[in-house]
Amino acid sequence: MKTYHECIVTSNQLVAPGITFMELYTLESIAPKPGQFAMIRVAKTRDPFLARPLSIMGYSSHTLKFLFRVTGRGTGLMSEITNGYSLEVLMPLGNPFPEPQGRKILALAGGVGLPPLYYYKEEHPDETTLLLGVKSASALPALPARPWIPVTEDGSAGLKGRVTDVARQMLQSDEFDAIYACGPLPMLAEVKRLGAEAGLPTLVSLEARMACGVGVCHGCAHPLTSGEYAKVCTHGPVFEAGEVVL
Amino acid sequence: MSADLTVDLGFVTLSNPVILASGTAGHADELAPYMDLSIPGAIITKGISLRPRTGNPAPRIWETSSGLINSIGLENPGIDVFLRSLPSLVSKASVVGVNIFGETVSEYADLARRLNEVDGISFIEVNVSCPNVEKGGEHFGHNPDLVREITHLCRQAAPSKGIVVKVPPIIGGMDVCEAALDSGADAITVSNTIPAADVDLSSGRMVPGTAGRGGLSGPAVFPITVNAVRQVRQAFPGAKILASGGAAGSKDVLKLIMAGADAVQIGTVTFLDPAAGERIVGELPELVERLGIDSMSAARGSAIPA
Ligand SMILES: Cc1cc2nc3c(=O)[nH]c(=O)nc-3n(C[C@H](O)[C@H](O)[C@H](O)COP(=O)(O)OP(=O)(O)OC[C@H]3O[C@@H](n4cnc5c(N)ncnc54)[C@H](O)[C@@H]3O)c2cc1C
Ligand SMILES: Cc1cc2nc3c(=O)[nH]c(=O)nc-3n(C[C@H](O)[C@H](O)[C@H](O)COP(=O)(O)O)c2cc1C
Ligand code: FES
Repeated sequence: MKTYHECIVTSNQLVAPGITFMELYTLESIAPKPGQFAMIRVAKTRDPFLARPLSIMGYSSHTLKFLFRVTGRGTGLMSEITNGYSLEVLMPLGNPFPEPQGRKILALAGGVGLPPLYYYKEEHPDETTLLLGVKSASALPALPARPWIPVTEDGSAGLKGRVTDVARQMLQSDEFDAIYACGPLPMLAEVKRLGAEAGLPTLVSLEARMACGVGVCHGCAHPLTSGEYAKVCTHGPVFEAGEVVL
Repeated sequence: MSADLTVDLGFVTLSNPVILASGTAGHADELAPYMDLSIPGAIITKGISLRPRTGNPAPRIWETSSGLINSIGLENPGIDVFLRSLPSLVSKASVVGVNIFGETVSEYADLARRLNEVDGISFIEVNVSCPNVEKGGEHFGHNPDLVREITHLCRQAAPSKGIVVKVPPIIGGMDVCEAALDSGADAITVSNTIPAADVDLSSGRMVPGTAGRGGLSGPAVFPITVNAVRQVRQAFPGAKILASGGAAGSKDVLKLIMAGADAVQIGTVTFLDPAAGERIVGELPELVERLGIDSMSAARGSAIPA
């Protein structure tokens, strides 16, 4: 049976303004894949009431990685947790980004959309080109490994422009077989156009407010182009860009 | 000797008083990867209508202190698709109840007629907390005459199933409960989510849903349910009552039984832990023994002041 796993916080640090990198030690071993997520109970007292969904940023020998932006009470409390504290985590949930199977993947991350694609790059380094788009150099997370090509809007580090503009240029080369993306909705809408222009399979990872994370509350619905809704937690969070309204 | 946890509802006997509530346990066996579905006394599927309903746009859920406001919009695939996946639940659960709602009075009867023919369903839970499209969106559940008519039609249409009427929050009178019990309901569920809303400061709008409101559930509503169950038990000493609202652990289940319920539905707590149903049933024997309770029927209503 899948259950909440008890995990011990082994590291929790600010890696950019408002952005925390957290490592957890899992007592049991798990087998997550890039693109899957976890529901984290911030407090055993159930205050905040609901668990928070976060993408898994990496896993090896019992160590799980997360990267999150402090946007409200739950992430605020999580950013203040000290080492040795235990957290209950339900995982791995949702559908991952498909394996490359010989294809070359252009992975586009916007801000804290980085975790699933960072993990993908870590698992498939040779097949993946990872672009990380942020406003300026100060927003780039100071992580031990930085397997990305930085793209800053103000040109203060790496390539200058929006990540989708840089991607459009790179796609001229015919070097890539698929586009994977995670980031804010306006960016994903642009990625969808980009994928259609290039005629490449394009997958995006979406966010939604979640109560259960396991498909029973219907709270996480995202509109599909068919007019129906899909549950982001079980149908996604990774979707074909053409399938969803962006 | 261990205590007797069984509950006799008349139309079915449950192995224990814990029921997974409608809308919180899926349409079929979605929770099977997380818990043994045969453990709860019964499982009630998410509300089903004759035709599919797409539901509401985001945000559909809004966290509150100790609870949740939802505006799912009764999303469901319609009865035909629902019946195709139902066998996956029937083969795993001890007892299955199917929750229904209609947009018109006759739709309730049509649904009950369809379900009467389906093996493996023990009872139909009739949700009357939804808008009547023929009457400008007035809630069926606010009108005792309509509740009487719906209950009577479902009773006639589904003679081989238990009929449970799920009433809206009890505010003031007992007319709706009386209407359901007088016109053939085997039991009533007391009650449903409580109308609620919040303001999203980031958008300046009321939430959740497009209407800017929804129904509150979770521990926040528990004391309201305890009081409502007590009132209904006092008004209808012989009625079968399923409590619904805020129960999050075995202690809450027992409290609601001592306030007059026969069995207790657990809903929102499943969102916090998909195995909550299994855990709560597992905790009951020890708690019941510690409190010196011999049986669920002996505990029922035992806390109500004389
Ligand atoms: C599958 C998935 C993966 C995610 N991965 C990451 C990640 O790796 N890094 C990261 O920084 N963020 C990620 N998010 C967003 C993250 O879940 C929210 O920022 C977080 O829940 C906000 O909680 P809060 O208590 O700080 O905010 P509050 O606004 O106080 O939260 C109130 C409620 O709204 C929900 N909520 C608010 N904003 C969001 C949002 N953008 N998405 C989903 N729920 C929200 C909360 O979960 C909570 O239920 C992910 C979301 C999903 C659905
Ligand atoms: C997300 C959600 C969906 C629900 N869907 C239904 C439904 O389809 N039909 C129904 O009768 N009740 C529905 N309910 C109400 C629950 O069955 C239950 O009565 C209510 O949530 C109060 O109990 P709780 O506090 O244990 O959750 C829903 C509740 C929630 C939170
Ligand atoms: S979060 Fe509950 S169905 Fe997706």
